[in-house]
Amino acid sequence: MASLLRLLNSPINMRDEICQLTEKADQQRKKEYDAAVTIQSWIRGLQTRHYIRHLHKSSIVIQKSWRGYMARSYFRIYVNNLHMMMRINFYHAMASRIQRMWRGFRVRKYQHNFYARQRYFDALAVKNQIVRYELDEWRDVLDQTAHKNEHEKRQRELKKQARSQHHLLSTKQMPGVFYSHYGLSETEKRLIQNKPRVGDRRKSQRKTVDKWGGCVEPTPSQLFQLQAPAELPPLDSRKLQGPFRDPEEIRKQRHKPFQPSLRVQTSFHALKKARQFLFEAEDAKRISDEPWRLAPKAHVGKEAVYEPSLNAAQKYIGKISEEQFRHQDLSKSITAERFSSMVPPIPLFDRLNKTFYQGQVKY
Amino acid sequence: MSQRQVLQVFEQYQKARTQFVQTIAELSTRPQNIETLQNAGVMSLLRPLLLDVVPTVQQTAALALGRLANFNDDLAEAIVKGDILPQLVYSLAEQNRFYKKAAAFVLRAVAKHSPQLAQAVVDCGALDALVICLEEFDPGVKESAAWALGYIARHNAELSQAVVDAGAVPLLVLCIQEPELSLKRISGSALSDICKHTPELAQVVVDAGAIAHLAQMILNPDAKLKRQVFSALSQIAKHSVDLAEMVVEAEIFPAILTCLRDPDEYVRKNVATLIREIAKHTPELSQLIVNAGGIAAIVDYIGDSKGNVRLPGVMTLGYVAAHSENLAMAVIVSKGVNQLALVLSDEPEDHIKAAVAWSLGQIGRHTPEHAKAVAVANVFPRLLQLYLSTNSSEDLQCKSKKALKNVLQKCVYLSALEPLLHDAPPNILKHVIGQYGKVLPHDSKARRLFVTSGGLKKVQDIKAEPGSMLYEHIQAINNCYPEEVVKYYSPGYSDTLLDRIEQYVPAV
Repeated sequence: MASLLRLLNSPINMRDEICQLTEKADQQRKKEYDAAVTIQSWIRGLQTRHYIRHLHKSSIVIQKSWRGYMARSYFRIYVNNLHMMMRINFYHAMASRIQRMWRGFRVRKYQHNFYARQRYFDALAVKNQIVRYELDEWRDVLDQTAHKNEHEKRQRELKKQARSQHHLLSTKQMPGVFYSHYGLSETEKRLIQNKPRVGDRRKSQRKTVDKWGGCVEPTPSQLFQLQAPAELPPLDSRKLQGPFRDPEEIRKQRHKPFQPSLRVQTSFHALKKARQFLFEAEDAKRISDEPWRLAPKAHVGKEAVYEPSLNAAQKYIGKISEEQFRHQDLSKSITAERFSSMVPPIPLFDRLNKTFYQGQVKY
Repeated sequence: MSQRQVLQVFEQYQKARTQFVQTIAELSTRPQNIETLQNAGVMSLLRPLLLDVVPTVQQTAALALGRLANFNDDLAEAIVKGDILPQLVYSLAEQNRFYKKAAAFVLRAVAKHSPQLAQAVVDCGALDALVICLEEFDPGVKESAAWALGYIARHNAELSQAVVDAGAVPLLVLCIQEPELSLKRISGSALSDICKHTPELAQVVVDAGAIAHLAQMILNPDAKLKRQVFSALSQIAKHSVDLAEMVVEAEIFPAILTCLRDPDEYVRKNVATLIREIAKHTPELSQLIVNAGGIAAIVDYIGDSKGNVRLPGVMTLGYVAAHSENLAMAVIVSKGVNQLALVLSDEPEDHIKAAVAWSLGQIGRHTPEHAKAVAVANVFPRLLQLYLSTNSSEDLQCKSKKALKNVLQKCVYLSALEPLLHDAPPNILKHVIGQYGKVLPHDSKARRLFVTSGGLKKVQDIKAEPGSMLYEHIQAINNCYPEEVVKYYSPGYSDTLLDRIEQYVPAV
């Protein structure tokens, strides 16, 4: 307390000093506070910025690598497509080339073949020339024959005239009309050369009255048509004949003896004849002709009793069934089935069994 | 009177009758007597003599009647009206061969004049009797019967059908195989007359196997027979493609081409007709003819013949060329165009010239090559002349105009077009100008030549309405040249120049 009073009574103005000091301290505190805040904010800022930078950098790295990856994959696809397009275009171009060549070839060869057309017209011109030449030749031949016929006709006319004008021939006493001092004229020559016509030709030319009214002798051409043709039609030489057999063979075949079968050989009555033969053979050896009887004739009508021979006498058993001969006792056998071998026989063992005792080699 | 004297009267009468009839028969061979005979009433006198007892009188009377009817159709009508035909038909069945020949002659003489008379002959039942005559042995009877049937069938299709219905065709085909030449000729002619009307009749004849026999006779030396054979084959071939092909299948080519050089001109004409009828149906048949060298033969044939005989040859060339451009080129290669140009200048007849013009049109209308071949033969001026001449018939004018138009539309050979520029009327001119309009834009030499030859001047002188084809072609030509040149050649240019001189004020 004392201290307190001392203090209170001290000349120092404590209040004001305290106030001042506290103000100063406040200010200083504020200042320090501000400075601290500034430092802190600066540090925080630094840190945040650092952090953000770090984040940015990392995000950039991520984005960068991602975008690179995406772009590369797109690029790959793009390059693929481009490559495909290139190839397709190439194929199209080649196909166009082929089509172009083919179409050009087709038009030039099949639709309008210029060279074939030219060749055709050249050949046609040659053919025309040939035809013209041959027709000219033919015409010459016709003209020549016509000319020749004319000539011959004229000659015949002249000859006929000369023959009927024989009386105009000049004689030693009397010159004829055609006589000339300068030498024999053509007409004279002809008169001399041809003998005169004799007799009335009209008689032979008169038509005979046909008695049969309508029926006519066949003309030579008709007769000719009725006869067989002089030449037979040609053989078809494409069809081959043969190969032919040896004539010896054929003769043998022709003259082969008749070889009938046994059935054909035997006559229809062969059986009957054979029976007859056997019967006669037996008949010759027979002593008695009477038929064999079970009992003497006198006892016909009664039942004959068979007396067996003593050697063969036996008690009559009756119907002997198979069971009595082949009795089988199936109770002792394992199964009721018959024995059958499971395996086929082995020939080697059979042989061995022959050498050794039977059944020694077991299988 | 004693018996002998009585009989003598009869003998005299018989002699008189025989003499009368024989004289009448002789007189009726000369045409100048026939009037007199007709006025003297010979028909009524001859008629009872047909029923005479003596066969000679009958036959000669029939012969005389035939000769009279042959000459004049009034007499033929008189025979029909006089009821002589039934009597003749009846006795055709009965009498001997001389009478049959004479009776068939009368029937033929009556039937040949007109369809009505032929119908009258048919109505009497003559067809059956004639067909029976065709079965006779005697070739003369067969010939007369076939001749009569041919004349009946000639007129129209109904009469031909009647002849066919009577069963004549197989017998005619048999007759054609007979050895006698005259019988062959007549049966060929009869078959030809039957075939010519309708395709069905031709088919009937073909079914009877006529083609093979006709084809065999192609190389027979007799000219008249060949005429009939070729006429028959062409009548068959003309109706349809199938019939033409059947004729061709009988292997007539190339033997038929030798007959184009036959001395007889009607044989040649009929061969050319046959080839024409075959060529006109299809391109394949024409190709066959071309490949056999037929075109050369036809061209030579045209050169050898004159007048109407040439006409089938000319038409053949036209038909062949019309089918396709290869065939037209074949005709050109065979020198057909030159020959046709010669014919065009030689011939006086209009219808032949029309046929030539048509053929040239068919040849030239395909491509510029063909048009050039026609142009080079110097045909255009002649065709133009024929078109413009007032003497030409309408048919000729029409055909030459069409030919000109068709060929000009393909012609690019300018030197041949030039003469046409100066003479042609506007409807031809527009085609000419059109062709110039097609060629000039592409060929500089041609342009120069066009100017120097005066063509451009001529073109400027042409008056054309704006909007017409001619105007457009002229514009196309004018566009090929610079403006000054066109102006220089336009009409009235000198006047415009003079006007300019007048208006010009000289610079002092």
